[in-house]
Amino acid sequence: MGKLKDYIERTSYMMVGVQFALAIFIGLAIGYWLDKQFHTFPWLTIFWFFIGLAAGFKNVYRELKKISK
Amino acid sequence: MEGSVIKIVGIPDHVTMTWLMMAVVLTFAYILGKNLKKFPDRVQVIFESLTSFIVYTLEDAMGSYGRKFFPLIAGLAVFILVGNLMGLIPGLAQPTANLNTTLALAIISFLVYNYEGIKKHGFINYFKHFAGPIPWMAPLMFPIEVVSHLSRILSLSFRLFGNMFGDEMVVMVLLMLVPFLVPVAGEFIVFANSFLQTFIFCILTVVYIATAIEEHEEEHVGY
Repeated sequence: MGKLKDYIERTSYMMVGVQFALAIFIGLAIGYWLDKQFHTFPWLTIFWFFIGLAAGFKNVYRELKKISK
Repeated sequence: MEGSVIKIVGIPDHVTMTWLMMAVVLTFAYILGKNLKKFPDRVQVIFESLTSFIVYTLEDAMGSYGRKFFPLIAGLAVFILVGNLMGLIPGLAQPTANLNTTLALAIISFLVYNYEGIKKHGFINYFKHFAGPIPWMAPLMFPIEVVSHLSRILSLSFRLFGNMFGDEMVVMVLLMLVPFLVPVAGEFIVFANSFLQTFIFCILTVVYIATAIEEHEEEHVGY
């Protein structure tokens, strides 16, 4: 059953692309919501956008590390 | 998708469809469970092979610890598969072609893998892993990690919802354009994609649980 395990691990790589986009949107959503709470419109949105971007990159990095191991 | 035959006023279609599906599946499972044979007939063979496939997958991913998750994964698999295939019957709608259903499924899988991670590593240790290896970067890493975990819920739910909704849409459009023989191709896409999406959803849940359990050891190797 060793083949199946490889297959399972490879399936999780299919997630990377979608997750990269979704992480940015989640970051934007959190930032926008916080901005509405504190009435500081552009700043927290921009900050959380970069947090989301970094989260997307971190997902890619984690998968890459798993592949190259 | 155009609307189901069974309608209850005040309750959305996907909920009535879920109830109908639950009634059918539970009745079927009850009858099948009562009539188990030592030398299985055709129906029993299909379900036994499904069961053993899920068990093998779990054991492959997590060792003997994985057997604990069999009810969860098998439940998800049967729910999603039957829910997807319901779209092939005229007059019925797919419960999985609605974002609410798929979001509920994804949240179940999210809660389970976090619960397992916390149970395995302890509350503090599990969240310490979120903060990353370098202490002064922890306030930055924590939100990043939280966002990347939240994106898992969304990508799980949106994939299933988008695939099933889109497939039904294709069939509907084909029915409008060429209402003869061509929509069969669309229905075939729905049929094939039902199995594929079920497989992907269940495998990803297994992978998430497995990584939540292992994550700690992996970190020591990595850094």
